[in-house]
Amino acid sequence: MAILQLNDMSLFFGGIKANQNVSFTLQEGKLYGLIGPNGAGKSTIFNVITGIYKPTKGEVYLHGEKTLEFSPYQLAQKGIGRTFQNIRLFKELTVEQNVMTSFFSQSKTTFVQNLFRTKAFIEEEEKNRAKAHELLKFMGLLENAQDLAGSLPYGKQRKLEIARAMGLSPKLLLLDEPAAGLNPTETLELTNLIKELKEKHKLTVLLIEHDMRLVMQICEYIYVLDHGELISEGEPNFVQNDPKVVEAYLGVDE
Amino acid sequence: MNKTIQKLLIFFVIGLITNFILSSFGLNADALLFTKPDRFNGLISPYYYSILVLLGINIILSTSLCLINGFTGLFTMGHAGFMAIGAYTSAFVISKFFPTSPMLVQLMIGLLVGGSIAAISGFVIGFSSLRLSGDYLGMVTLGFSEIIRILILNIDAVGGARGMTEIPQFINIGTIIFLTLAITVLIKRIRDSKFGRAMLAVKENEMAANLMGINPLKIKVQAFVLSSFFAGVAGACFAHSEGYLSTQTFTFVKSFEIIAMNVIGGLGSLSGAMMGGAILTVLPEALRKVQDFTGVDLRMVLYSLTMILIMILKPQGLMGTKEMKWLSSN
Repeated sequence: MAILQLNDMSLFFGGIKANQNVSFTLQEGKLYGLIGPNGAGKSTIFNVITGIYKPTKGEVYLHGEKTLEFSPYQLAQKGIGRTFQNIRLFKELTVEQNVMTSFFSQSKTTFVQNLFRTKAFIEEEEKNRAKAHELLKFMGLLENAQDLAGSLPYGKQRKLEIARAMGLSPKLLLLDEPAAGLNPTETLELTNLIKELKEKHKLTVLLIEHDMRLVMQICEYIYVLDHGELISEGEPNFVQNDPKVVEAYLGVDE
Repeated sequence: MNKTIQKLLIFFVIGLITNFILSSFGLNADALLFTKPDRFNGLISPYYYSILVLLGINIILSTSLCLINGFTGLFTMGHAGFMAIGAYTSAFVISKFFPTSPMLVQLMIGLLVGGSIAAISGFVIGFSSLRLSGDYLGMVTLGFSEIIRILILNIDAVGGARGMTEIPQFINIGTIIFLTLAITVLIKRIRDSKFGRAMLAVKENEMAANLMGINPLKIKVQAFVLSSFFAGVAGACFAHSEGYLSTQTFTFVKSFEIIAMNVIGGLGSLSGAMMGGAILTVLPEALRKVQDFTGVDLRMVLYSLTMILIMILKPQGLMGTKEMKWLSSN
C-alpha cells in the first residue's frame, strides 16, 4: 500500500527551481534511498513532505490524504518522523528529555494533572520514561541518558536524533544524511541499526545519503535527483549502472 | 495525600507563623485570618515590613517572567503591563463591589480576578504578536504595555492621572510568603511537566520542536497566558498592600527591572530569577544606608555599578542555568 505519494510536485523560490515535477510513491514497509549531487533538492523534498515548505505546484498525499493543509506538527502527529542534516537537538536538555519531548502529542494528561502531579501524571511519566529508555537502549545511548544532548560526541548526537524521531512512533521515517561525519565503523553500526529499526517497527524509511556503500547496501529502491528533477529510479544495481546517474555525478566524457 | 497540596499547606503554615511573629505578635483575629493589622506592634518596623512585602511581589514577577524569557526563550518587554492590569482590575473590583466583605473573601476574589483578567489580556496580546520573534516581539510587547498604561491613565473610574486611592489593604507578609513559595513551586512543576519540556524544546530549536509534534505557537501562547496570570496576581498583591496605585509604577522601566532580575540571576534558572528579584529589591534600599556615610546621593551610581560588576564577573548570571536543590528537576 502506498504510504506517501508525490504528484508532480514543484517548488520554486522566486526564479530558483528547487524541485520540478517530482513524482514518486513510497510503498509501506520498504527502505528507499534518495540520492543526488549537492544542491539537487533532496532536503527540500524532505521539507515539503514534513510540511515546512508548501509546494508551488502539485500535491503530496500521506495515506491517500492531502497533506498541504497540515502544519509540520500535525504531520508529525500523523506519523512522519525525521532527522536533520545539520543536527537539531535540544542541546540544553538531557538525552532522556530529548526523547521525551516527542511523546508530547501522544500523552493524555491535562495541564491541571501535570500541575498537581496526580496519579495519572506520575504513571504516564513513568511509562514515558520507560519508553524513552527502551529507545535509548536500542540506539546504545542508555548510559548517556542523563547527559546534556549538546555534550554528546557527534556520532551519538546523530543516533539521538533518530531515537527522538522514533519517539513519535512514526510510520514514515525520513533520515537526512544520517551517516554524515561518521567514521566507517560508526557508519556500519548505524546501517545495521536502521535495518533493525525498520524490521522491528515495520517502518517505511526514506534516506538521503552520500555514503554510496551504505545506500547500496540497505536501500531496496533508489530515487536519483539532479537539478531538482528525478533523473533515475530503480533497484540499487540498476541505478548504479544508469548512464544518466553517472553523468550527474561525474560529468560526461568528452 | 497529593504532594503538591501537602507542599501548599506547609507554605500556608510558614506564612501564618511568619505573619504572626512579624506583624501581630499576639493572638488576634488578624494573624489567623491572614490579614494586615491596622497597627504595627510586631517585631519589625513598617519600613522593613513593606520591603519584605515588595520583595515577595518582585520575586513573583521575576519567576513569572522566567516562564516566558527563561523557559520559552521569548523576549518580552511588557511584563509591567500585565502587572498593571492585575493591580487595577483587582483594586477596582474590590473597592467597587466588595468593599465591606471579609478580608479572606476579598483576598481570594481580588487575586483571582486580577490574575484572570491579566491572563485573558495575555492571551489576546500573545495570540496577536507571537508570530513575531526576537527583538520584534520585544518591541510589540513594549508597545502593548504602554498602550495598557495609557488606557488606564485615561479611565476616570480608576482615578486616571490622580491615581487610585483608598484601595482596601489586606495583603500581609503571610499571604505574600505563601504566594511567593506556592507560585515558585507551581512554576517549577510546570517546568518539569511535559508542557515545560515542550517550552524548553521550543526555546532550543523551534523547528525541531515543530517536527516532533509540538505546536510552537500554542506552547508560546500557553507560556504567555500562565506568565501573565502570575504577573496579574503579583499586581493585585501590590495594589492591596500599598493601598494606592499610580500608572507611574507600571512604565517600561518596571518591565526592564523585571528583565534585569532574570538576567542577573541567570536566564532560564528559576532560582536565579528568585535571587535576582531579591537582589534588585533589597540592593537599592540597602544603599540608602550608604548615603548616611557619603552624604551625597550615590545610591543609583552604586546600584548601577553593582549591576555592571555582576554582569562583568558573571555574564551568565549569578546562578547560570543551575538550580537550588529544592527547585532542581526531580
